[in-house]
Amino acid sequence: MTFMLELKEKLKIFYAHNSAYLIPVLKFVLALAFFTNINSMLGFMQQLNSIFVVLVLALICALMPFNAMIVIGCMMVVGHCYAVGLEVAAFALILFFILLIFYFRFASREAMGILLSPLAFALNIPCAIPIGFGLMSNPVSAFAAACGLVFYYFMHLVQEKAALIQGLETGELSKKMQILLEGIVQNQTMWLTMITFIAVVIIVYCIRRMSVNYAWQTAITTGGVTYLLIMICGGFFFDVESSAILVIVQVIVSCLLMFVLKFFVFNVDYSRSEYLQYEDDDYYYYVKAVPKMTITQKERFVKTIGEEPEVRRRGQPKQKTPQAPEKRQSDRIVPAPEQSQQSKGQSDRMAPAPEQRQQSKRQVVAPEQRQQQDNTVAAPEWRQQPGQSVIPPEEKIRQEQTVSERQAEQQRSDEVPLEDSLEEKLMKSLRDL
Amino acid sequence: MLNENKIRLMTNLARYEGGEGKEDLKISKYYRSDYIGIGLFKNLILTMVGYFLLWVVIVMYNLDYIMGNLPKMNIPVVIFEFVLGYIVVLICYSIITYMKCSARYIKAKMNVQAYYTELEGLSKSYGKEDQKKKKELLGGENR
Repeated sequence: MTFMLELKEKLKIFYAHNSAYLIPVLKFVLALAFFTNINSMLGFMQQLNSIFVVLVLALICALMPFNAMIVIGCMMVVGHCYAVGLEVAAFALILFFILLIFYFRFASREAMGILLSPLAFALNIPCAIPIGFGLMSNPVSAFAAACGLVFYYFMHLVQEKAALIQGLETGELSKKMQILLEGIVQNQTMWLTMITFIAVVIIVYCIRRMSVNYAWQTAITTGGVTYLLIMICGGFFFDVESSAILVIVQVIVSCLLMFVLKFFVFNVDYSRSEYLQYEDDDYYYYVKAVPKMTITQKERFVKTIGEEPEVRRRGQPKQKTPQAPEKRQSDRIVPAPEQSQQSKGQSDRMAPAPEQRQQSKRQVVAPEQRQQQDNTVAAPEWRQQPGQSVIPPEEKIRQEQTVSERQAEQQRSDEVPLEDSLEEKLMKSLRDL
Repeated sequence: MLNENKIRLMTNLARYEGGEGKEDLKISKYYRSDYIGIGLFKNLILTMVGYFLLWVVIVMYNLDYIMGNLPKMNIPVVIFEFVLGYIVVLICYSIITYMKCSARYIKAKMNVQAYYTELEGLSKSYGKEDQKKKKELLGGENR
């Protein structure tokens, strides 16, 4: 789970950084899949079957809105139908116009149904369409899914009846129209699938919106079961031949895909839900707050030998840690006798003994680094301070020792009690007298 | 120095102008009644085209029957059915169009109001900056 969450975060970051390039690329791939699917299903017009044409059209679609992809796809279908017969092309055109005028005029954003339905059928996961629309959109999108179905079954019909229609004479317009219309109106599989789609979209949407724990999971599962039941039971009432095992496999695969979608779109931790209640002048509010499941990125520890371990986040510049002022002072500045008297104890405590200091320096610097230091930074530390007094370490140590001796003498003299000294002075003056 | 609030405001405004705002700003130029009227007029034409196409399909489907029984057919009844059907479809779609246009107009109006509020905030921040610059200039001259 942690791995998946990390992957999700990485994908989010990757998308945020590269969305300008990623969106056209994804559009290109989608358009390519859509047009290739149309060509594989129909493929009657040789000019449109060319991979070059498909690539160029997909490239154009990558830079245009989704609706342009749908329009180009519809035009391709009309083109293929024209290769079968002028009447078929006219029928396709009329069908698309009717869909456009009576439905997509009001829901242009849901035209994705036309785009995704044929792809879902080609991938043998039709159940993913109504569940996906139910999760991501509203109940009205059931009609978009239904329109997508009509689009797919029309292509399927042309694919099946092309040979029959091409065999008919040019004058038999009525017969051609009959074949096409009957193929749509009397296609019981299409009607059964359409009813199933609408029912599943509405059920999934209603459950997903409920204020219960694991609503999305329940919605996906219920949607899958509903699809399965309607398709299998409907097969008894409609004249539909379908394999129950195939439908079950399709539903399982679709549900798994939808769980992946759910993970990326709606991933929450119900165990940490909070229930709040408050009021204002007009209302009482009963709020259920469910936290999102997120993971912070791993922190990198950059450990440099010879320095204190430093925690650095990815992308942040490395910050130099300044040395402690006391240490710097004890290393570089030799205190004046007056100063040393005050800070003697402190400096003794803070600064290591000369031998220790040298030893510790030897310990912290790794051999490779020492080599590098010898090559690059030839001068020792005490010589690199331009503003400070330049004193070699041996001299510094000697000076510190003398200072400490002087301090000790001073302290000894200070320790003599005041009364004793006065007594001595008095005695001396008396002796003199 | 960069003013973060101003940048945020300008980004929001630019994003809105480039996306949903295009349509909203067009809609906001109309009165509500005019906008709905135009929508209903478009609907009248489109429904007529769609309905006519539907009839074309029905006629083509029954072409053999129609050609065979044309003399026997009661033409006024067929025309009446055609017109009645058209009126029913038109009324249904006009109601849908009216509801959709009303909702769209209200939404656009609210969005444009929010847009103008943000724009006002931006112009105020510019005014403050101008005043600050003037003060600085005046201070420099006095010195």
